[in-house]
Amino acid sequence: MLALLGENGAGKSTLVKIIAGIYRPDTGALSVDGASVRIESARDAIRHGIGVVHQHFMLVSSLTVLENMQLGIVARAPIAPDRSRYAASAVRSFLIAHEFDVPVERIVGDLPVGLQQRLEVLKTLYWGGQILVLDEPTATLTPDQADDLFARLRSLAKRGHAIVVVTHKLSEALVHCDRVIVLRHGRIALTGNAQDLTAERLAEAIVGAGALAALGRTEGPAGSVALKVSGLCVKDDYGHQAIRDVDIALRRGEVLGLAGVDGNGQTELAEALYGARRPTAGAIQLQDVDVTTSPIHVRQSLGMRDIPPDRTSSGLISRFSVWENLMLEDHALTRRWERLDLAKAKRGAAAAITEFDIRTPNADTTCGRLSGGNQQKVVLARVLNAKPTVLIAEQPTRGLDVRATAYVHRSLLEARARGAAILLISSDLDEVAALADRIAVMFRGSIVDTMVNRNVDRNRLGRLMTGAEA
Amino acid sequence: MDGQGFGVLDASFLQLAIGAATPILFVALGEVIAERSGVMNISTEGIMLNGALAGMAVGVFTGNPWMGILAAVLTGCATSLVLAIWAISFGANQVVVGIVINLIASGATTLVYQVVFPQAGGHLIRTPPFAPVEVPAALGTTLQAVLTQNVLVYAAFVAALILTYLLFRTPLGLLLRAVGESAAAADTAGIDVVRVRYLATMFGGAMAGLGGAYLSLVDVHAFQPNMTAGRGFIGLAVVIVGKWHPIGALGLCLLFGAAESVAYRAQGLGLPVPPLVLTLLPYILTLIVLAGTVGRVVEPRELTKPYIREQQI
Amino acid sequence: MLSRLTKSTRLSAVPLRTILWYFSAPVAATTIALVLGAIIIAALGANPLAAYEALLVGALGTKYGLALTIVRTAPLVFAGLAVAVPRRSGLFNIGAEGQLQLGGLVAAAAALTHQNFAVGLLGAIVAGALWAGLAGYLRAWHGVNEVISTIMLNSVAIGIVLLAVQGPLGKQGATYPTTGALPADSLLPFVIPDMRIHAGVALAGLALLISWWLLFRTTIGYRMRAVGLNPVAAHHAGISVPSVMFMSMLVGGAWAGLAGACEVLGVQNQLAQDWSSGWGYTGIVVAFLGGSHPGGIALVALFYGVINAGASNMQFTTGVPGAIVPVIQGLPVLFLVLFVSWRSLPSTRRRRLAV
Repeated sequence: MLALLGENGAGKSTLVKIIAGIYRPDTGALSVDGASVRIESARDAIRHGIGVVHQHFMLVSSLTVLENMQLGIVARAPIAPDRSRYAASAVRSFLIAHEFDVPVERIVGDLPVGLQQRLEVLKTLYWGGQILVLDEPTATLTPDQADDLFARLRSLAKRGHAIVVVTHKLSEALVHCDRVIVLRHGRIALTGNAQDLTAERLAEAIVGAGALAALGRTEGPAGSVALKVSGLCVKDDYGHQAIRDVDIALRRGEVLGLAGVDGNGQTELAEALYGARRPTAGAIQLQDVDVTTSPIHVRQSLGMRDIPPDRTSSGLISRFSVWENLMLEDHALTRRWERLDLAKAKRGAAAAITEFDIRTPNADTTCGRLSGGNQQKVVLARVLNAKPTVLIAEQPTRGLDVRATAYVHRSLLEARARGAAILLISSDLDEVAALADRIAVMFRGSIVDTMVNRNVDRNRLGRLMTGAEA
Repeated sequence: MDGQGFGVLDASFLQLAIGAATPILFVALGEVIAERSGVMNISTEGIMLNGALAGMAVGVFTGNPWMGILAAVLTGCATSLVLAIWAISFGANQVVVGIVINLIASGATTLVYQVVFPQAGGHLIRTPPFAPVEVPAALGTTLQAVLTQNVLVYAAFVAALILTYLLFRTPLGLLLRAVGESAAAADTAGIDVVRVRYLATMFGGAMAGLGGAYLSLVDVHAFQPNMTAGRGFIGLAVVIVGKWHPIGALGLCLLFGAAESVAYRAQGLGLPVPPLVLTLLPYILTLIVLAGTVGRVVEPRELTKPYIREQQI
Repeated sequence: MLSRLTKSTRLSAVPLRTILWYFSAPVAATTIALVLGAIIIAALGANPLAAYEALLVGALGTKYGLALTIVRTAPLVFAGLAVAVPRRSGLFNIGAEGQLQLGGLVAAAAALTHQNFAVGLLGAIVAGALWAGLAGYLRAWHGVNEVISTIMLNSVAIGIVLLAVQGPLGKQGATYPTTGALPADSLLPFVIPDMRIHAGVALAGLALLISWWLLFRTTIGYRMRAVGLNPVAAHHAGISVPSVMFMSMLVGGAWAGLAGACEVLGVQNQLAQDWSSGWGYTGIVVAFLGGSHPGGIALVALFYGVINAGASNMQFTTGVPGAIVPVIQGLPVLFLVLFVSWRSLPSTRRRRLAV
């Protein structure tokens, strides 16, 4: 049983998709049992005995358990599928033999997540999977369900199957797997036997070694609380608890760095704070006004702005020009009906381009043609020009080069100096260390620890982020 | 009880209603299959026209209605192939392509008709005789009258039953439904999503062509420009209100066929509601159903969404 | 001088180079369509060049032809705008046909009661907007597919008009259902009397300007375009996506209503059964070929107006039936859609297709 570890963006999912036949590698080769193979579709993968359980369930939720199991059998021979595997009785006995006691007529969509996950695994086995690859299989499971899953995987391994588990959780790798490979920035950073490795070694390989450098900042006294979050609970799109009982007190003039591996609830938290997602419990107070269920524009008018993690899908309108994107959140624009003051807009754009050093031929250039760094600068310019009191910055330097990153950091610190309260959500530890006054670590939807950013132990942070330490 | 019915609702009325239901039924059944795979074919109106003309033209030239039917089916397949290539392989917007095909078909069929049958002028060219099925008199006069229908009518009704069985009780049907509900899941199971959609779309086209052939070869016994008069759209409505189920489609087509027949028969009857309103029944019903199923997902989840593997897994 | 032109001008915020880029696909698609049209004409036994020449001569060669072209262009302008404005917000207004039917009905009703034409026009605007608003509301706040709902509403609208001309609005003793000639003092005046060009043409031109101004010089137009291009980002920025969608349908319906009213009060001077030539559906291709931009729509509508007006001369001179017109009008969009989709495919998919 092999664990494939790494942060988000390290390349784990891409690797899985290559094995599954969704992507094709640019160079390199795949071989199964020593024989070189070409996998160009899911059918090829299945034919070679590779069963992939993807991060998002590949079940047809409106069909029954039986029908989902039959899909792979039907795919091979649509007119006359193999009766010995297609028949309901065959499916039933297979499932019962694997302790899956759900009646096969149940609709998959009605099953709880844990059972759906098990069905996914059983599905790949039923379709002839010898090599099982599971991409973040425990993402939606409780600890008990996760243990159960691994126990079953273990027994499959004993029966001769080869199992690869892709995960970002150290404990799973160390406790359940035989061998571990760590990916970092698309390369193998470490490989070894689980029994020879320690959590520290793994954490270091995942997040990188070295002391954390802190940019020079002026330490001033933090001001009053601008954003207060109490007991916040938020569900994600699948109905699971993404944020559990989170409290945050964000002060003016401070940067609170939320460190954590992507997927531990940061997106849902930001969405709930910003107004794009309704919390199920708890309260959010912005400048002493309760905004728990207020729409986005109300929070904006109280001085909250958000730098979204994905600038091309939620931050910018790629087909709009630079000056059009710069005015996107202008409140007069979003609420009232009036003439567009083009001259004013362009003057403002020219000023922003100069001030933020946005490299663009002119203000009319389509935003989609700018480089990632300059696109981010447009978002930054728009957000900062609104002089926000509370700024949520989600992965603000993702995909940016060193220069652009440094620029973004400087801008954020300048905003801080002007008294903004900044919540920095980032999976880049260096970034968090450089900018934050306080650091809170998120793991599985809760804040596991909060500390002042002084002499922080990087390894400890890594362990907290990956759940190796409670 | 034999003999006459109740005023306007007598045996010949039922016969009319079934006949009126049939062309729409063909379209609806074909569209159920196509939409179950995820492809919305708005060009059913145009395909019906193409089928009507092909059926009529080939029927007249060969003197054999069955050749006409074959031609109509092939024409339907060919037309829907355009939609298939555009929408499935290129991911083009299915609505736009459908509307454009309708527009082009409307002009093209009129054009071809005028060119191939310039002698038409004011009167209609009759298609070859296409006798209805012989129904034994032993069934009684009412039943005999009602059941005296063209063989295509029987084909349509039987098709509804066969498709129901196919859709819900065979591996092929499972394949189709899976592709329409979750193309990614079907793909990762090894199903060739593209091929399934192509075949389903072309089947839909063939059926719509058949519906058109019924209009020109059986119903009117001639071709008239734009003779489909919205039946293609009614077919689309039937699919939605019938919840993408062949039997639902069957029932609704009968209902709408009856409404159309009542409207036709009841012209001078002085009913409180103008009979014309009855012909609006399909559209109003669809609107009510659309507004009512708000929030609940009833349609195939993948409907109108092109499947591009890299973007969806 | 050229560099001055290629920089942004006061009239347009977009540089000339970008405009030329946007032109290339529709022009290429239209060219292909015309070539295919020529092939079809040749197959019919006529000379394509002669046919096209007869088309142009018929449409533009005489004063009568020119007038006909202009009059035939007007409804296509309105219909194109009726589809284009909602398109800018990401919606498909397939219901322009039904909206213009009701617009014509209200205008006819107003005329029959001897109202001034302005009342008829205003009523048509309201009728069209409301009919579109119905579908718009269902889509904006309840996610109901506006394609199907507008198609259904089309048929219902046609039915309503039929009921009206067969019943209360119908002229007694007419051979087919119609209102009969409408009172002359309720009709649209002529702006160019000796060419019989009615005020509706001027209104169409005005509609183009207003639509351009709305979309590109007002905040509401800005919001419409933002929602159409990226509703997620628009929502994130605080824009109310449903309100904007609804608004765009109201505007679209208003233009469609005017299309119907101007035809009834300016050209046909009566409301009869089957009075529409399907402008609502042609408007869809006009909008698409015109890039949902008033400038493009003006050009395309004129182009289609020329084809429409010149068709009878083409038939008279070369024998090519007028039914070829919808074919030539529909083909460009078929190819344009192909080009546009090809451009949006991810490169991996393009490779697989090419193989």
